[in-house]
Amino acid sequence: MNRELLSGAEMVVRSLQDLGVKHIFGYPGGSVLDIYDALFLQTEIEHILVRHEQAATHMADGYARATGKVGVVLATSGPGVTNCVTGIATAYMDSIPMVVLAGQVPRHLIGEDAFQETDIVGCTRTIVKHSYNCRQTIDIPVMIAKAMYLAKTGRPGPIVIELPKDIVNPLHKHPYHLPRDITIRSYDPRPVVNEDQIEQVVNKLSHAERPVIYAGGGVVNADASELLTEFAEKLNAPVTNTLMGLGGIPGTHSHFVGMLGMHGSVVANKTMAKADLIIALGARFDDRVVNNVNKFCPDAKIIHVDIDSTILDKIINANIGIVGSVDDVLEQVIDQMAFMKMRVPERTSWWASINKWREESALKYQPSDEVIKPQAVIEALYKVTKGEAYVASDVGQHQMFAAQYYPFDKPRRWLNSGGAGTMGYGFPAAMGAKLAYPDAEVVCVTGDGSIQMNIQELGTCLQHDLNVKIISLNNRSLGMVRQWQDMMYEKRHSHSYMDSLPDFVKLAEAYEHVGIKIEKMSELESGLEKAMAMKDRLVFVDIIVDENEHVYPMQIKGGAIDEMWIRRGEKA
Amino acid sequence: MRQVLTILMENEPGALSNMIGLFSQRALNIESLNVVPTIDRSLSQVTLKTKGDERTVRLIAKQINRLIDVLSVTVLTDHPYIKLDFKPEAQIPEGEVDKSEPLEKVEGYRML
Repeated sequence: MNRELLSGAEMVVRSLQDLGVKHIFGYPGGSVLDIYDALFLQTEIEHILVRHEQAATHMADGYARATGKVGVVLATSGPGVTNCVTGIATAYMDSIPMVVLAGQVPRHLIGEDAFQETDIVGCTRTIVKHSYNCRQTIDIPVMIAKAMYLAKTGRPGPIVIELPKDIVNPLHKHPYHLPRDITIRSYDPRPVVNEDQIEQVVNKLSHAERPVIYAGGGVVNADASELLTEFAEKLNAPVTNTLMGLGGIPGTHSHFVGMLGMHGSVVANKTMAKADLIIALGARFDDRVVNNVNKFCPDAKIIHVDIDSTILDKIINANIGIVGSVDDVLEQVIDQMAFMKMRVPERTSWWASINKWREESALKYQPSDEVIKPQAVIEALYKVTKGEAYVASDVGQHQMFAAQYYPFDKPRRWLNSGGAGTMGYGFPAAMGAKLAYPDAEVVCVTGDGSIQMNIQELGTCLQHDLNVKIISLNNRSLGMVRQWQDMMYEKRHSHSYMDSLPDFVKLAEAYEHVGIKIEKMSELESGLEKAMAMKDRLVFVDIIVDENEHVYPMQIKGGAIDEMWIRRGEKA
Repeated sequence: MRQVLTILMENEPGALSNMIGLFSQRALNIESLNVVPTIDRSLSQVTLKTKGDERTVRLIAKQINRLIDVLSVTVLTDHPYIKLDFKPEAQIPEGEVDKSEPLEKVEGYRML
């Protein structure tokens, strides 16, 4: 068979095209110039030129979370790819499919401290799902195909491919062959679910009096939200979501009891604490959920489902631990419940307790007309966007307020750095979602601290027409740090204030965007409406909020899951 | 507690580093490490001795198993096993030599 002859650079671009990639995020530089030249000569793939490579990774990440597709990044060797490290770690912690094509110095210079040489595979070893040192031109298509396959199957994650400059040389042509079916003998992307365990699960379910479903990001990754909702209804059980799982069941569903964990709702945490059966789906008993491991839900039996076997029994031992994709397991459990004609009780007293906790401890804050409360901003945003927006969040108090006060009825609408907690994530992530869904409303909820970590991307938005709405909860301080200092360091605000903030309105205008400043509660809703009405403009909404507000509820350190502060000085 | 792990992995550059990193990340020492290609030259067999609490070593074993280049991991102390200590000693035997005992041990090892 005659195979087309292509250079390494052409192979990179052609492989991506043939694998259906439509967008890549990157920044050119010495070692990837040949690849950039090949990109210039085609029109199938749109390249988004960022202003800093970290933003390229977060954009790819936001794009991946919103669509479920793999986000692809291209960066040059040395500082180009080291700038990607934070974004790779962010994707790794939250299991997001991403492929990073990293330039490298020519093969004969590797290991000689050549100009812009960094061992990026070595640097990222512990924050990738896998990585490839590509050393021959003919390996390029197979490595890219494998990387795309690994990134999105099984437990998704970032993959790094290192491409030395001399193997992408446009003068050297080699036969191009992209393998269509990838199998990797040591890798099982979809473990077969053990049928005996399904039967055991249904037995446990039928004996449970006070079950709760604890659902995480695995539900979103497996596109299993409809199955989850069906399961919750058939089991007649409450559902709580982790920060990563929000939208996995509609936030307005009657069975949903809110987010759990450190800043979760009291009702969600109490429901967990009093349950006799916890069904954990694609969640990992993170320390921000469990609080004190030794006091964790003493009465509960635990069923734990995850596609990654290393998650099972890592923090909390399960009575039944099932390795499998959440959608496969739920489908089989629902079938088995029908087959065994499982009788589902009314659970009158369980729901009565839950509803009592709901009434007693609904999320609340002290509204004010004098100052704008940050929670009020999120409530107004929910109203103005009718709960339909893609919300990308940065990290800090505003992130928790957004998670608490913006119920997501659909999955893949909530984009935030849950595991890594990366400030500077939100804005580029919103841009990635906007690129994928240009007609959708995409907002970035951020703060005066976080937004400045990737604010240079205002330029990228101008160039690529990415008209996101930036909702900045400006409290002139690093709110979450300040909150901890208030609570644990006798209000010594060590470096948690933001002195000499820029005029964000002027800054937005300098990039030919629109800036709006909102300082009064009476202007809040109308200001947000005005911003949303400007469909074809990026609007930076700088909202001056109460700097003394704390995020509550908040778990008490060292306590059980449901031991919480509900407001200053008051315990649940 | 001392633990012995055997790992079957792809004979690829970087495969070993990925595995070793899981120990150094937790400040665990590796007391001995042996890597040999198998009859199938695309695979390597690793035998590794480490000291750590059981829970940690078990978690590491699972995480090694998760690595894309790894085919299988066995914690040897989970199974019946024969431990052979080779002590090289220079002894010049007097008279006729009885080789039956060492040979028996070697045979027992081969039969596994």
